[in-house]
Amino acid sequence: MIKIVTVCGNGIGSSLICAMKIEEICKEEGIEADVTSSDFNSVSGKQVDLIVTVKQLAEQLTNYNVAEIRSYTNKRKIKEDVLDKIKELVK
Amino acid sequence: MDTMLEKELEGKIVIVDQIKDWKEAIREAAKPLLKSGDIENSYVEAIFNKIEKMGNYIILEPKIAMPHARPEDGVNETCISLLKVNEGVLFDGEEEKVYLIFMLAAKDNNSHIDILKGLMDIIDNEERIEKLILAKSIEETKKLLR
Repeated sequence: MIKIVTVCGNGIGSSLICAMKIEEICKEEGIEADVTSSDFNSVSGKQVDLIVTVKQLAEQLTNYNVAEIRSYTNKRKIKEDVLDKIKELVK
Repeated sequence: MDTMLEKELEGKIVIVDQIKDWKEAIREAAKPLLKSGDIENSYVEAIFNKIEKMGNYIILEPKIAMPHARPEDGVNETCISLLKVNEGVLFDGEEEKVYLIFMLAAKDNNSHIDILKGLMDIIDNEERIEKLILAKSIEETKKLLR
């Protein structure tokens, strides 16, 4: 199973909403994924396959496989921004 | 019918025509929650510090912001408020104005999930967002949150 972490400033608001959306997307696509949310400070050192976050934070997470999203909540936009990267991981 | 959000926002909706800047907007959105004792001043300061460090992670969607910090930053009760700025307010570095500011506070990592889901139902619906932005009274706003 692939491990995806969504990241925002706190790990309980924006990123949690985003994690729920990504769970829905993975389910629809028949992809098994463990999706959790995290605050920016605790993400370093985590073993993850993909980090999903917005531009400002993505720029600071250069050592990771990062998918940059334009919105934390708009499912259509999130899907456009992350699905290709997720599909690459399950190939 | 989901009236959870409406209930949570009882007495915690503020509508203004305009506001000086985004910082003032965050302070204004915090007022009902400070008054009810749901959050401490430190929570508002934490939001400012995090925005300074991490940018506008609080902007969920164009036009909608959800300022929030962490449970340990000064939360007594899980709560939410809504500040509507009729003319909108610009956050630093953004191109589009924010009109709806939902300030969220969670006393732990999961007690606010129902509120978040309620909020998602609202903001997933673009038509409803437009109506909310145009709503002129608290009554009208509350109806749209049903």
